[in-house]
Amino acid sequence: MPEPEFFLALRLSLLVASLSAVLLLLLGTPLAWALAFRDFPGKALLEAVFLLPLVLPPTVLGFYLLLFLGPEGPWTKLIGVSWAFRLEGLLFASVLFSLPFALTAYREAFLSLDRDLLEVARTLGVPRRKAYARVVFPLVWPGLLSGTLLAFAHTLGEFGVVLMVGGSIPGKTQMVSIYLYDLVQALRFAEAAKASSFLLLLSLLILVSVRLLEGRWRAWRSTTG
Amino acid sequence: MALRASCTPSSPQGLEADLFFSAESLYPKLLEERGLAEPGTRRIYALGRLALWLDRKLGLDPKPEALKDPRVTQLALANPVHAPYGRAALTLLERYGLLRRKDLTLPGTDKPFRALSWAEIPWERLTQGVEAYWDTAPLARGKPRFQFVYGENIAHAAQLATSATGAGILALPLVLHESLAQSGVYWVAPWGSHLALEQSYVVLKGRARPEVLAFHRFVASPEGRAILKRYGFLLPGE
Repeated sequence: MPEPEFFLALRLSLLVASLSAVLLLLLGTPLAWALAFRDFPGKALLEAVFLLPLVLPPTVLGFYLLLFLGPEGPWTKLIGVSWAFRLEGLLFASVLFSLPFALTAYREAFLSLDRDLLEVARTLGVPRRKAYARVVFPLVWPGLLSGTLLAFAHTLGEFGVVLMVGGSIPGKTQMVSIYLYDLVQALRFAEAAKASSFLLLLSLLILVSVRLLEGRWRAWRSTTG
Repeated sequence: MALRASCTPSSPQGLEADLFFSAESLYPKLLEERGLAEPGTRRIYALGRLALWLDRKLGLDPKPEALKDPRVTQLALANPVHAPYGRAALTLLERYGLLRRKDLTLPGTDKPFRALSWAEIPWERLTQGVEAYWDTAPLARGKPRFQFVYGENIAHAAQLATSATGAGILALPLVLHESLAQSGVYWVAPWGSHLALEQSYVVLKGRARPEVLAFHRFVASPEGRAILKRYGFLLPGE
């Protein structure tokens, strides 16, 4: 088994990945809806800005984020406390870093939606809120789920950004990718191999269970459908 | 040429490098022991100097005691688990009474931590952070919070210090660099007040071509030494 510090780092990674996935689902869904169906001035620019983290090297993003969240940064001036080298900072960075992945998946899910179905439901007298819950949600949820899972996985494996804004503090901001990197740098190859294989197995397990869940849900849907 | 950050003794053959420069002497020695270096080419090219750097905006006098000031809430270091300059930084803080060893025995050693010399500390095993092994009370007392922040190497630590922590224990050549010299004030640690950084280099096995050996000689020549000196290194034999 890997040493206890590995599990500490893994716990932090899982926490940051889950919290940022939830945040992305909450923030990204309305944003993706607006980008899919609304037209407003500056939309193309806004879309480009949201996609920037995809193109920028993570270290560049991390460098800017550290200045943004640091003691002299605009965010610190706004909220009165610096988020650099803290869980809040890691979350902020992860949400921003995984935003393009979640946003693209959500938007595709919405765009593939046949909006006539919503209108039909409305003409049949279904209240708006109920129509979203009964008509829209069952059609878009696989896209929302896969986008959120993608964001989760992306955050779990993220390195450059958390390296720059985290400060590698064990138990606090040292995520599992950084922990592994530090092990290799310290030439502790045996420990690094143990930790890596554990991580590999865990990732595989997560992916397999997601596939199984998805299959079960589809089967359930087709019987009740 | 390869630097320690990007090349470790396990894999120098796979790397297109002729020489290996390190910030200490351990890794070049390891290469030599494993027969991965040309015998007799290991030399010390410089003695690394540490400096305490403080952001000008803190308004503090640059000396070790300044770290006790409540304005210093974060201190940037290179990660002592693997970076020589980070290890030296901790020994410097120890020497000035700013860190006190806890009463414990480190993994992989049979003597109590307090009885270990700097060279005996199993640095690569200290993965729980400084606070797990040292009492940081002298640094943290009277402050709302105090924490160490770790860079992956000494240049990263310098970047963390300038953009966020406002304080760092860095390599002198970095502190003399214009971007740090303009924004901060510094104090140079006396030689001998910390773990010795005997920065060494070797020619890698099978790479002893004439031009490589010429560069190997150049580093130790008066011209090469003058360059190193200009950047703030102490030189062997001085």
